Amino acid sequence: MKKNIAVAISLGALTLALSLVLHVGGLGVLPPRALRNLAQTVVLNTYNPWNETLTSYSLNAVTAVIWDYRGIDTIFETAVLFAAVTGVAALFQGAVEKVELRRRGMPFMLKTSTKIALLLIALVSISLAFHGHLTPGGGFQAGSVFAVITALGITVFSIEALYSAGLRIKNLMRVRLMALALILSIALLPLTTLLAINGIAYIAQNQVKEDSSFAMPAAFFNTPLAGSVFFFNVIEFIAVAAALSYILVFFAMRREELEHVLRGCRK
Amino acid sequence: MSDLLSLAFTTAVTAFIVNIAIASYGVFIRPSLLKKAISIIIFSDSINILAIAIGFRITEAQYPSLPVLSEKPKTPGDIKAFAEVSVDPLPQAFVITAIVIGLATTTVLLGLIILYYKHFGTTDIRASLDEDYEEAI
Repeated sequence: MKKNIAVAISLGALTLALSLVLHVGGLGVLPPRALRNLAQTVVLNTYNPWNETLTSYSLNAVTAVIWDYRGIDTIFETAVLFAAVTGVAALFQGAVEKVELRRRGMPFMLKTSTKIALLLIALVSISLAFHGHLTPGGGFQAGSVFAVITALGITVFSIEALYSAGLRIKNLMRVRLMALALILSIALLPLTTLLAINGIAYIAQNQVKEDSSFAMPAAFFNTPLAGSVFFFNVIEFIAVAAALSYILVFFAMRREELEHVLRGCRK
Repeated sequence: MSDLLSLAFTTAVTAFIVNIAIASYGVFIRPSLLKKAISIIIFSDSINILAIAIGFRITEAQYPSLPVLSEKPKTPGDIKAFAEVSVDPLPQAFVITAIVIGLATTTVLLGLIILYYKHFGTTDIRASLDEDYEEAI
């Protein structure tokens, strides 16, 4: 115990001494006063009805960068997450879901209070996804919050309660694949519509460009919708929630279910 | 005032770098795979916070604001006023990408560790170096 405190204090002293030396030597860093040029362009155009060819009609500049200005990047990123899901599925190949082994649920009081908490978590995650372009938030964050429901469900209600609620591996994989297909189809949507009238369009295009008149809906009645950003956020929410739940169900499996995996042979 | 601010910011940046050093100690030295995984997570999170700190800025107003417009701008002047106080949104967007990819690799790593634990009965990396582990289980 005393050793830990000594290590902490000496590390703190090292940090302070290093920064003091850097500061006195004139090497100290200070955040800049002005925005960098690229950031200036993004911030000025994220919601700018007076510059229609560059704007994305998204009040949240970060979401605009993620799904509009660097949309292709994010589509590949969600593909990386899908690759991780495939990797986990390959690791746990041969696992079978078994019911009626043992239900280790927690006491009744805890279950009831958890149900209320789960409802609140679901509401928070949905609002994060649906308002991702208006307030801080977005599809990935919302999906991670939603996966907390699966994690809490496994600890409090036992994994077999999740199976009977329909959170089976096969269903989760189906949802995940469907969401990935939807993301790709929204990214390719501009191409298909403009093939019909023989114009120009770009993959993952959101609003009108100089030589292309294709535009996703910018507003829903009076609320800004930010075109494809809203749809991408909602679908990514479903995709991430399904992917993380899928992985969590595998991680929580019992020894009897992993028999074939541990023996190193297929079922 | 600017002098004190520079010292404080330098201390924060140095602290992140020292954190990265401690995390790499954990990755290389600790024998437990779980502790290695935790160290990798701390490692990448320290780098992420460092990247977000790069996007920070000093403004004329007391505090810089989030890169989120609080309401629909009515005139071009509103957008200019927003650009005066907003922090850089790009590092935040890159960091969320980095977090997702870090999460993807971490899940595969944790899956491996869980199978390792179920196979050897321990998360100690030295168990796999043992020649006669086959008889041990």
